[in-house]
Amino acid sequence: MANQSRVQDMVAVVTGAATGIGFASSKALLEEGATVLMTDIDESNLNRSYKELSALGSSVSSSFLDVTDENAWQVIMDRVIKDYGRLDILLNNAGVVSHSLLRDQDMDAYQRIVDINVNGVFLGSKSAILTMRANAGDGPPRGSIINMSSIGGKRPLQTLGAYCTSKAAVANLTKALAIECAEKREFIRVNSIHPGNTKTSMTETIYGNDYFEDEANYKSVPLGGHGIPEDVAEAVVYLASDEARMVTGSELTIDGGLSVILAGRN
Amino acid sequence: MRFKGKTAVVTGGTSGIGKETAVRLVKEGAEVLFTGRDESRAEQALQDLEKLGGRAYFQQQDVTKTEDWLRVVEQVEKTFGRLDVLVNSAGVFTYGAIEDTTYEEFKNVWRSNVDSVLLGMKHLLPLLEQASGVASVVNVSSLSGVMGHPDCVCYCTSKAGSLMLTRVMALEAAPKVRVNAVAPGPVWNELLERAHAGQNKEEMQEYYRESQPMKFLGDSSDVANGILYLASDAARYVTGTIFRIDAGRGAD
Repeated sequence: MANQSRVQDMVAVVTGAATGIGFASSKALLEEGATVLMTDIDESNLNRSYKELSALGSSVSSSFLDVTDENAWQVIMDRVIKDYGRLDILLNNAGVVSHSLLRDQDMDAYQRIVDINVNGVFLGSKSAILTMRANAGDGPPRGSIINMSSIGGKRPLQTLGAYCTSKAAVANLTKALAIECAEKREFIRVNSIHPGNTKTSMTETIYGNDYFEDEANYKSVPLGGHGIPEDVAEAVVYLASDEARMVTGSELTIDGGLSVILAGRN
Repeated sequence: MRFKGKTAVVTGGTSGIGKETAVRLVKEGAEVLFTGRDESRAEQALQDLEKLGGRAYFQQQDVTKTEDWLRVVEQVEKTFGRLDVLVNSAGVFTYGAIEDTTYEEFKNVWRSNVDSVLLGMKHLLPLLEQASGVASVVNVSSLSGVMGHPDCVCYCTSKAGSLMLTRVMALEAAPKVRVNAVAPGPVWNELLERAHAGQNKEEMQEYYRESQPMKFLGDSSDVANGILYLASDAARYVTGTIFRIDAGRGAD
């Protein structure tokens, strides 16, 4: 168990918060002292998850959000400032996947991946940066934006070409934003997390519900076994907190060592 | 108290990032054996650690010497009986253009920054494999192992070597032991202060701060925070990772 209250009194927005990594991260941020606005496009799961977390304390709220809707982002940011007066943390976690060889890729599914995984991160980051700037007070703007990429953003994964393409874009968008903020002499940090083989509703959608029950499916993972959303949530808390005040434009890989054995760049 | 009941070895533990890491591990509940070349510096570090109410031990060690590592192994066996965390923080920094660099210097830097990590892994792995849970090794590499700098051939080459050593060891040591590296940019601590002795301190800090994309000059605690995350069970699914702590320099 980590130190308590590592993100005390910070205000966080989490996308894709209804399930999986977004839910576990919302929970971890709450437990470490943050106020969390959970957002998701899946309202029924969001309501259920919100109810579960609101039992832990009052500093959680929820809202429907389509991350591809620029106006909706504005509404979310207005609400955060009205209700809490500040924004410290944005976790761009919402993402989708489709399972296909690129040559057979359905273009509608492709466009949906690009819209949500790439454009959604762009819109969220832009909204958050503008909000952090507008509410900085006397000092330089501060905040932590955390973008969910994937080991697929570092290495190509068979039959996940469109997804990998989108996640590589997220990784580079992250670095570009990190440098852009830094060169404006801001302390808005932007980092990406690269999970691999993590059991979530999204990965179960790709691989099937039984995938994570059968160890043969990830026997190539050096550490063995699969990751769980809480593994990623731990990294989110670290990157969100002041412990990582010197960390920006960095990648944090959580994949049991799998990417080490896949050829490609570091 | 992320390290309650855990045992740790930290090399280069008498100053800089190593000392800060040892202190933080003790604060978070670990028993720590820290090593260093300079026994006179250890006295102060030991007192600081004991003041925290923790259990700390010191052993004089040249990390490039097999016999010194064997003495560390002996001490760990005797004191802890097993090992949960190894932080390879000892290392040296030199700079100079290749025409001014002797082969001897190149080999010495390599020995200090790469052989040291290999020897630590090689000799302590059996004790790490006896940890109750999954043990964790964190190697302190450098941003200079990821990106090159002119007039820095010894240091950059050796730090890149320690990064690949980290990856290969991650594969060899799995699944009982995790192996990761941090790649810090410059941080202000007594090492940098010593390196710029006689120069104006504020001017030097300003120089380093302005040389980062994010105009922030961290200290040893910023690197220790990352080391502690990687060393802790919070990172139980993390191995073979190179994690930059560099105010954005490596993303540029």
